[in-house]
Amino acid sequence: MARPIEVEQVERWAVGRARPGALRRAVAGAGRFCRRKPLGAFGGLVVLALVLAAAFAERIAPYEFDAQIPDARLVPPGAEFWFGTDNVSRDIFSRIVFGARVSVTVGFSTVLLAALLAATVGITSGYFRGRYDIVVQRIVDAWQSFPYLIIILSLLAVLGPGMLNTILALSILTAAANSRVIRSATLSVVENPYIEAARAMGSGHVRIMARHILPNVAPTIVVVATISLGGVILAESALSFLGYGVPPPHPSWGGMLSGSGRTYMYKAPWMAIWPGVAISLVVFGFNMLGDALRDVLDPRLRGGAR
Amino acid sequence: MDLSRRDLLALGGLTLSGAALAPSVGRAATPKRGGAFRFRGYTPPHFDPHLTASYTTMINLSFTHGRLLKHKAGPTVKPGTFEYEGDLAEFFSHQDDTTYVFRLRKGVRWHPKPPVNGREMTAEDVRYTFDRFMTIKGNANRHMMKSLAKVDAIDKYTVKFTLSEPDAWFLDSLSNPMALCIVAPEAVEKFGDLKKPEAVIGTGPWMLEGHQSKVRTVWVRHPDYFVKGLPYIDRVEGIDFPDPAARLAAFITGQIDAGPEFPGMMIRQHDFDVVKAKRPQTRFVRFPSNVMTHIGMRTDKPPFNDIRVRKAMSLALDRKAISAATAPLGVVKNPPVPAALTAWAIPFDQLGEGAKYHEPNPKEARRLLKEAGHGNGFATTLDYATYGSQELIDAVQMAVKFFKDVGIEVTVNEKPYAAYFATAYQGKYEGLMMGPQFPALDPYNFLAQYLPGEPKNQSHVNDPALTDMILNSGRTLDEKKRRQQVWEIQKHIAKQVYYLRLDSGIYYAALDPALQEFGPNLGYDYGGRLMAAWWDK
Amino acid sequence: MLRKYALKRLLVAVPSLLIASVIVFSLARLIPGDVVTLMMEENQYAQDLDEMRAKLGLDRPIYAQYVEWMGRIARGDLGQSLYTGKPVLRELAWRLPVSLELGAVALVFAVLIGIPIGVVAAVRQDTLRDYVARSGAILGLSVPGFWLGTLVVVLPAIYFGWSPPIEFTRLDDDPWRHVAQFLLPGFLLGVASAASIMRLTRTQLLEVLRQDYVRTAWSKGLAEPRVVLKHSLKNALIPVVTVLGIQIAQILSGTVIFESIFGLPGMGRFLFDAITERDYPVIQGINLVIVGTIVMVNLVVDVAYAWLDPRIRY
Repeated sequence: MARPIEVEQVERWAVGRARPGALRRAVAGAGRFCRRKPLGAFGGLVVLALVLAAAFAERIAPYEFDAQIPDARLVPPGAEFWFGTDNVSRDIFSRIVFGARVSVTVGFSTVLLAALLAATVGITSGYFRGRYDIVVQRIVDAWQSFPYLIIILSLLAVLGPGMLNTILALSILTAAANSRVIRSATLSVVENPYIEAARAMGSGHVRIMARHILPNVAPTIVVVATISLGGVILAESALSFLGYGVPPPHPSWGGMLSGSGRTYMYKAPWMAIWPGVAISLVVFGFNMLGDALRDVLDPRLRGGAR
Repeated sequence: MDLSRRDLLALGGLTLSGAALAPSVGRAATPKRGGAFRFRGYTPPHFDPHLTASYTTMINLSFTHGRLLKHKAGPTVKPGTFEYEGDLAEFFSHQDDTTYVFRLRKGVRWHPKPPVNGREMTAEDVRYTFDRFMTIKGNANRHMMKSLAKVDAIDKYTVKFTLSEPDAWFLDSLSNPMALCIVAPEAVEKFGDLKKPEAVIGTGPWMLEGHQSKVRTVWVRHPDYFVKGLPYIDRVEGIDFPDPAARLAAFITGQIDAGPEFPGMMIRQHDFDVVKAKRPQTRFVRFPSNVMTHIGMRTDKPPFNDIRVRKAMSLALDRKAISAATAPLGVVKNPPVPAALTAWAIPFDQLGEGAKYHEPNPKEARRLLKEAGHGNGFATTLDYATYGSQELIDAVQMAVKFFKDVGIEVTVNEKPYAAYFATAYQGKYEGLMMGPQFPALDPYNFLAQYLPGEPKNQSHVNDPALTDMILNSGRTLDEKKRRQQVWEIQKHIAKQVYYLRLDSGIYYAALDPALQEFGPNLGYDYGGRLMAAWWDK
Repeated sequence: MLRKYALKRLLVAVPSLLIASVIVFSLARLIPGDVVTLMMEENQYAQDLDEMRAKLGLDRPIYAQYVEWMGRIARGDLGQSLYTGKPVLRELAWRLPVSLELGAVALVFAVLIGIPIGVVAAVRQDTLRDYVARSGAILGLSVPGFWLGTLVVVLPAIYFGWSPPIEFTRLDDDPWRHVAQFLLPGFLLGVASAASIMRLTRTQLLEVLRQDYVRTAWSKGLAEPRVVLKHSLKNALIPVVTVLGIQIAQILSGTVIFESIFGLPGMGRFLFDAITERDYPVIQGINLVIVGTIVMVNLVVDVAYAWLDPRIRY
C-alpha cells in the first residue's frame, strides 16, 4: 500500500515525539470523552469533518465549485448529484465542500485573532490588576455594549465590505467578550502560591505570564474559542443575508442560503436545505464540543450531580 | 432643416387635426367608483422632484402630480410603447424647430390643501416649475432639459418653450414621469422646499393623505380632479416592505393587489409557479423588460481597444445559458436599444453582421484572441454591485466562468452599490464592469452611452462617425427618419462590439383580476396607469 | 449600603459610556478620504468637498469636534440625517420603542425557554434528558435567524394561505394587533438567546448543586425536586440576571434581521438603510443610543444583582 510520503513522515514525527504510552493514553482519554460526553464527541466529529472538507476540498468534491455542468439545471438530489444542482447547473455538494473552506478561513482566523487579543488583554488585566485593570475593563465594557451586528455593519460601512474587514471586525468583538472569561480565570490562577514563589525567585512578569499563567488558562481559552467559532459562522451568514458577506466567486454557506437558497426556495428547496443544514450542523457541533470541553476542563463542573 | 408646421404636428404620434390631446379614459363596462388599491410602496428620501433623481420619489409623485404631457395608459396600450398625450396641456403647436407653445387645460385645480387651497393652476405655475427645475442647486435631472433656453407664460393658459437647438427628444423628456411634474409656488414658499409630505400638493388624481417612512404611504381621491369622474379608486396604499420573500408571501395571501417587484407590479420569474398555484385567479401580463445588463470594457486601453478581443469576449459568452439560469420563463435578445422599447429597438434579425457576436463560439473566440496576440489569454478585473439581485450575481459568476474557459482570468470586485454607482457605473474602473443600465423609456439614454464625455459612456467609446450619427438623430425631428437613423446606429454599434449586452427577461406583471381598465407598463408612472382603473368586486 | 453601591456602579458606567462615545465618534473619522468624495458625488449630500467635510465634522481638529459633538448630544441634538434632512433624534424617538418592544418580547421568550431547559439539563447532567434538552436549545441557536424568519413567513403562506401582516400597526391604532405583530419575530429572536441563558443556568446550577449546603439538604433526605428548586435555583439564577444585560446586546443585533423580514420599522432597519445610504450621522446616532441603552440596562441589572445577592460588593 503506497501511502503519500507526507502522511508517513507526519506520523513518524508525531509518534517519535510522544512519550511512550502517551498515544495510548490520549486514545484512551478520547474514548472516555466519547463515552462520557457523546454530544461533545459528536460535535468533535462534525468539526473534524469540516476541517477535512476544507483541507481536501479538491479531492472530495466531484466538481469544481464553479463548474457549469451541461444539461443539469435544477436537478433534485439523487444518485448522480447527491445534493442536487442549482440554477446555474453547479453541483451543490461540491459547493458545500468548497464552502467549508470559507467557513474555516473566516471562522478560524477570526477566533485565532480574537484569542490572541483576548488572552493578551485578559491575562495582563487579571495579572496586573489595579489601575490598568480598571481602565482595560472599562474599554472592554464599552466594546461589549455594542450589539455585534450593529457595530460590524457600522464598521463595514466605513471600512468597506470584504473578507478581511469582516474578520477584523468580528475578532475585535469576540475578543472583548472572551477576554472577560480569561481575566477571571487568570484571577484565580494568580492566587496560587507558585505564582508568588516564581515572583520571589525573580521571574519577570512576562515570564510568569507566559510560563505559569498561560498554560493554566489555556483550557479556558480553548473552550471560549471553540464556542465562539459557532457564533462567528452564524455571524457570517447573517452578514450574507444583509449583503455584507463574503463575495463570490468563493461559495460561502451563508451566501448560498441567503442568496440563491432564499430566491429559489419554492422551486428548488434543496438549494436552501443543504447550506442550511451545513451551517446548523457546524454551529451545533462547535457549541456541543465547547460545552463538553468546558465540562471536562473546568474543575468546578467536573463530575456528575449525583 | 425646413419642415412645415404641418409636418411637425404629425410628430410624436399626435393626430393632425388640431393636435388635440385627449386623455384616454376607460370605455369598458360602466366603471364603479370606490375601493382601495394596495401595492408595494416605496419610501422616498424626500418628495422634492427637483432635488433627487430617485425613482422612489417619482413613483410617489405619479399619484399626486400632473405634467404637461403624459404617456398613454390602459389595457389597450402595448407595454413598451410610450405615446404621449396631453395631461395638463390640451394642445401644443410647433412654431419652428426650437419653439413649442402649449395651451393649458382650463379649470385644473390644485389639491385643496394649504397654502394653495385648490386654486386654479395657471401658466405662471408652469413657468415657475421650469425655472426652479433649471436653476435650483442639486437637480440631478437637469440634463433632461439641456436644450431648454427659456420658458415664458404668454397668458394665463399659454406657455412658450424656447430651445437653444433643435431637440428631437424634447417631448419625450417632457412626458417622462415625474421629474418635470408641475409644482405649486406657494408650497415652495411656505415649506422652503418640497421635501416634506405636507408640501406634496399637485394637480394629480390623488392627494397624499399620510406618509410614514418605511411603513406606508396613503393617498385619497382628489375630489376636483380635472377629468370629471376620475379617478374611480378612492384610496391607494403603498406598503413599504423590504424583504422579497415576505413580499411574495404578502401577495400570495392577498395582502396586496399587485405583484410586489420593481419596476411596475411584477413577480420574479421563478416565483411564477407558486403564484399560479396559490393565487390562481391572478391576471398575468407578459412583456419584455427594459432593464438591460451589459458588460462594459475599457475600449480606450489595451487589451479592449482591439476589436478582435472585444469580439472574442462576446463570442465567449453563452448568453442562452445565462438566460436559462436567471430567467427560465423567457428573455428577449437585446440590440443596443433594449428590445423592450419596441418603437426604437431594431428587430434583432435585422441587426446584420453584428448579430453573430451574440451567439457563443468559444473556438472562434480563442482564435481571435490568438490573432490579437493573447494566445495564452490575459487577466483583467470586473467591477460590479449586486443590486441585491441573485440573478445578477449568478450572471456575473457565469460570465466570469465563460471568460475563464477561453483563457481570460477575471478577478471580480464586488462593490457596495453606492461606491459602484459613483465609480464603475460612470466609467471609473480598470478592465470590465457589469451591471444593469438605467431603464429609460426613450432610446436617447441608451445612445448617450456611446458619446464621448457622457458619464454613462462606461466603455469609453470614442467613435467620431458614431458620435455624428447620434447627434444628428437628435436633431432629426421627423420621427420616421429618426427611427431609420436609430436603427442604423444600432447596426454600427453591434459591429463594433462596444458593450457585451445580455438578454432581458420577460416581466410577469401580476394583478388581481377584479382590477379593470388597468394596463401595466414599464416606467414609474404608477398613478397615471391607475387613474382610470376601477374595482369590479 | 445598596445606594452606595449603586452610586459606585454609576461612576463605573460613566467612563464606559465615554469610551463608547469615543468609539462611535471615531467611526466617521475612519471614513477614507475618497469615500467622502464619493458621498458628495453619489448621494449629492453637499455641493462641494468643503461642505461635505464640514457636514461630517472633518474640518476641525479632532478634540474640538469631539467636545462640540458631546455638547450637542448633551443638549439632545444627534444631528441630521444626510439622506432625509430630518433630525436623527426625532426619527429614533419612534423607532427605538419598536426595537425595544421586539427586544422585550424576545427576552421574555428567551427566559421562558432558557431557564427551564437549563434546570433540567443540570439536574440530569449527562443523561438522555440533558442531551435532548441541550440539543434542542443549541439547535435553536444553530439555525440562522433569517432562515427561520423566512420559513415562518413563507410556509404558512403556501400551506394555509396566511402570512404575518406586512403592515405595521401602531399601538394607538389597535393595541392587540400591535402587540401580536411582535410575537412571532420576538419568539424567533428569543430562541437564539435562550441557548446562552440555558447554558449559564445549567453551569450555575451544577456549581450550586455541588456546594455543601445542598449536600446537607440532600443527606437530610429531602425530596430531590424540592432541594433543587428551593435551595439551589434561587442562588443559581442570580448570576443569570447578569447575562441578561449581554443578551440585550445580542437581541438588539437580531433586530436588524427580523425587522426587515417582518416589516417592523425599528432601529435595526433604520441603521441598515442608513448604512446603504452612507448616512453617517444616523449611523452614529443609532450606535450611541443603543450603547447608552445597553450601558444603562447593565447598570440596572448590576444593581438588581447586588440587591438579590448581598454577598456581591465591590
